[in-house]
Amino acid sequence: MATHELKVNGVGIGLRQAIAEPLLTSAPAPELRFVELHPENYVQRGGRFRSMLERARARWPVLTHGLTLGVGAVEPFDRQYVQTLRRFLAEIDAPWHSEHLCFSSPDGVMLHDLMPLPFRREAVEVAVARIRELRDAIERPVAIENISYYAHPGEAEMSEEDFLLEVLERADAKLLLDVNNVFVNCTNHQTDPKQFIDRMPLGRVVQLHVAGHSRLDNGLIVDTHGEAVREGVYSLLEHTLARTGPVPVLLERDQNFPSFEELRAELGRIHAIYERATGATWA
Amino acid sequence: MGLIDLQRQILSLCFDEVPSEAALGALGQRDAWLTYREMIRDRLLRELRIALPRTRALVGDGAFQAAFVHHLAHEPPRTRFFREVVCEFVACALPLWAADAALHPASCDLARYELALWEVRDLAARPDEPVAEFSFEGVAVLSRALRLLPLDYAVRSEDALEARPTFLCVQRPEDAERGKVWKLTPSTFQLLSRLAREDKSASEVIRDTAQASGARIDAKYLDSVCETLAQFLEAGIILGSR
Repeated sequence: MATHELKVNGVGIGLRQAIAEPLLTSAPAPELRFVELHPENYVQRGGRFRSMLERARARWPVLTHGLTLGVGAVEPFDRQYVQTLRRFLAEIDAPWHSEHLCFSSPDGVMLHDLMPLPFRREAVEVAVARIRELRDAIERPVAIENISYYAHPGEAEMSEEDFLLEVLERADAKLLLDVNNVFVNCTNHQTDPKQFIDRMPLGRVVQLHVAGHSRLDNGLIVDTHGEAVREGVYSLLEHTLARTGPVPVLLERDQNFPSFEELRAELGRIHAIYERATGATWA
Repeated sequence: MGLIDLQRQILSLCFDEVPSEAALGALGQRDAWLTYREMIRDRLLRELRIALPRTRALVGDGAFQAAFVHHLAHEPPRTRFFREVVCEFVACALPLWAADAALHPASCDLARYELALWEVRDLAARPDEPVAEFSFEGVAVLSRALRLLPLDYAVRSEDALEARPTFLCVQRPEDAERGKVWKLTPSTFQLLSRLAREDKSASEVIRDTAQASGARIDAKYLDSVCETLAQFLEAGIILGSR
């Protein structure tokens, strides 16, 4: 397998239709260093999305973050899609590809959401095998993201941290550490987010995500990607970056978009935290 | 319970018409799982409402929602591309709406029309293979961002849903973001449909179309066909030949 140089760093934002025009036409922002997209929204697609991709690639490195190849699914991979993905990743020279530690499609039915895996040995075995298979098939590193979860399916045999650690170690996978998901999970399940971060294998972290969350009437906080990043998440981000050192940080915003100026202000704040926590500066 | 059984329970909980108490009991944390169910269903329904606004207004929220419930419970989404859940929903909903005498008779045609507008936005216009300049001796290559619709009702937004045969070409030009709608005569629709599906030279298709309609292939007929083809080439409906 080819070695892909880590060519991406700094702060980035998700490439979304709703903000594409101001994002792709505004003057270069020093705090914006890359964009991230979901391959499912771009492969086998013409029209506006193909144009957005080409314009984005002309300005920034592009990272890919999958939505539907849940590594915890029991069924075989869709080989045709995996090959399509491999070609797409090669076309855009993606340094790695990330997917979620979840399942999305039992018996081929698509839930179009990221469903939690039980923290159990059987799920570890399934995820490890699928991550290795995916890495071989797409011929580049695979990073796994920790998802937010609002309920645990059935009985757990281990903690969330131990589950994630074992999967990463045995699959020899990279980690896309979603700081907002850590905050959401620890809040919902009454555990310590800094302790969670401190247990993570920081040498495996290739990227961080931050996003906003919402509180429902039933008290749950939900990873909506539809709000501004909360203060507690900013604090956890700084704690994390002080430990990981410079790794790319992505702001995820998928709905309920504010003005582009507000998004740029958020990026600016993340950029300031990035510099403060890592000591890295940008000319 | 094994991993696959857990995953199937979760699927059942989210997509069954009524969430099973047995599944909720097996999974525990009832409120949280019901939150998952609501979030997943709301996201899917929102996409359908964005894609099919006139259809939803015509059939009414009750029938639209009922078709959605049926779709998830009996013919659930299988596409990994979120944009295509609309196509799968319409395929499931059409027989239900066709059988419902209480609905406006144009409902299914309107759904097909709105689906075509939705689909062509995302289709790549050009095929992967190279396309040569159009010639009557070659096989015509049509845009792939195109849908041909033979309908029983006039369903464009400027029409009044009258019952009359309506032949539409919904096409997204290469440099456009949205589809453009062409209203065709029956003979032009037949010609375009044959060009799209038959592996014959353009001149053979023109001859076959004329014979099928009983038209006489004279200078006037050929002039009319050439003018139509020129319009289609200029619009990017026909890209060239192979």
